Amino acid sequence: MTDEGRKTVLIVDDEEMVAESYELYLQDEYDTIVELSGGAALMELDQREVDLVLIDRRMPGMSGDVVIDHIDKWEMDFQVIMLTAVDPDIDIIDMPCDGYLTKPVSEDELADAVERAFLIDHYEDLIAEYNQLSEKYEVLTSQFSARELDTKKRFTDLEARMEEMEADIADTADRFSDSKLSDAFRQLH
Amino acid sequence: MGSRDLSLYIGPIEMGSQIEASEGTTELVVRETTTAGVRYLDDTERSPDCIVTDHDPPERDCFELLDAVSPEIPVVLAPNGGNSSVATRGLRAGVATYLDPTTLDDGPAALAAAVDRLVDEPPQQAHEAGSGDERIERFTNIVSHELRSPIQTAKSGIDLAKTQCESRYLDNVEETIDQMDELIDNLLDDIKHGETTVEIEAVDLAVVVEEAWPEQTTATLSVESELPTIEAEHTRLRQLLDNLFRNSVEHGSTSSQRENRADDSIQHGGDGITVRVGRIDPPERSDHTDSIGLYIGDDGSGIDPDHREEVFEYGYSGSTDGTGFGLAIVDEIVDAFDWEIDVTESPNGGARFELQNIKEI
Repeated sequence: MTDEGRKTVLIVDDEEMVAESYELYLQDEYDTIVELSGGAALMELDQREVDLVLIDRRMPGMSGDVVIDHIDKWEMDFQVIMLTAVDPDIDIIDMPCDGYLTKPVSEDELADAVERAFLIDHYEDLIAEYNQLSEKYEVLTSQFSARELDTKKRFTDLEARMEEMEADIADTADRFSDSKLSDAFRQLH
Repeated sequence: MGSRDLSLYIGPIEMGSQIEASEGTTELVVRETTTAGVRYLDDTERSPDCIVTDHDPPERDCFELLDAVSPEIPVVLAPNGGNSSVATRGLRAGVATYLDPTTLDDGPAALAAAVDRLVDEPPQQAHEAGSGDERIERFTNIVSHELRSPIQTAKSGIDLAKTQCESRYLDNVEETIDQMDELIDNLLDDIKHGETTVEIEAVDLAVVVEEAWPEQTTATLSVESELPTIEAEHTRLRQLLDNLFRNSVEHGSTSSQRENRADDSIQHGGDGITVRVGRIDPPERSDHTDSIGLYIGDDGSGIDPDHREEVFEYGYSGSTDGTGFGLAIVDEIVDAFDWEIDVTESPNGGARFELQNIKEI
């Protein structure tokens, strides 16, 4: 049963026991779906909406690399975390994934990585929306005088919304446990 | 218009035809067996731009083919029902892509797409340079996969089992698995970097001694002096002490076994052993007044003076069930910390390891 508002995580690992343990680690916070092959994962993604895919890199048959290439080409909009027993190499730069974990992972590591991926997703949504509002703000302030705009409620609402979003963006950046990432986001902002 | 790219498929004719019928843009030559494929490669004047091979065509398997193929030609390993072992072995042997067509909705089309991709953008050949560094990197990748995957499986099994029953044994196994994981990380680090890279920090020696002391032992730990905070790396220091304690507890001996000393320099035993740990202050006129020493001694049968140099060598073990790794790793860590280690006889007759040049904070 899917609780409304809960995020859905698709777990893909050819080792059934490993996939089940990831499900155990995440099921309190998220709805989970388990698939044991890359091919089955792609079929699942074709039929259901998920918010995050947690996928083993090296699997017999269709590897995790191939699956996330498909996800990238199909322009699917969700976070992807790659899990692998192999230490990351320079090739991960080109990999269309939002997180990378080296096995074995503990419950805390996995939960942190998933939470962080969702935070990044939320941050990106905020920035995209803020940029849209900011564009409109620029156009309006170049078109009208400050006195004219002050009398328009929709403009003052826009200003209030932008202020609210700035606070939300700063708060989201602070929630990243990695201080380097927090600092980087704060500088961007 | 130039000629089309050429690919070679080795495997069942039917699959070859299906790949050809898919929307691949390359011309496909099909050979049913590895022998025929190798012969084709020997005879042809035009090398294929890509090779797709089943794992187990009649007579010879794909790994023999890989030996015969020029490293410039990318190879897709497409076993008809593969497994992680074949995948790992294939990647180890240098295949560019691994795809099991039986696990895909449209295997032949996926293979045709993989061929197109490889022909358009041939991967950099990992084995082209074959330098020592690249070989080490490939080796560590394989080792890390082969060791870490089962550790993940074991950890997952423990966590799932804990949802069904409570047992202190599960906690013990979990702790052991965590230690193995740490050990693998350290060993891989050693292999990759040639020497042990350490991150020095302030470490409370008393705490690490407590942590490293084995839980399930009848031996006794006696800390004979106040232990300071020192410069070290916590993980490796714990590993060092863990190995020294394990050596004393598992390979120390009771006095009744002393007569065997000549044949077995590090004796087995455990019961009744006391391991003493304490600080060694520098001599008053020493140049190294900011550094201290640490001893770890036991009252077992000790180490034969003739074998004291050898005990730190990889593979040396005084017992049949020893790995010969424990004290060699201790020696590596001592080097990495820029410490010194010596082995002597303890006042109680057993072995005494003395660590020197430890920086006190």
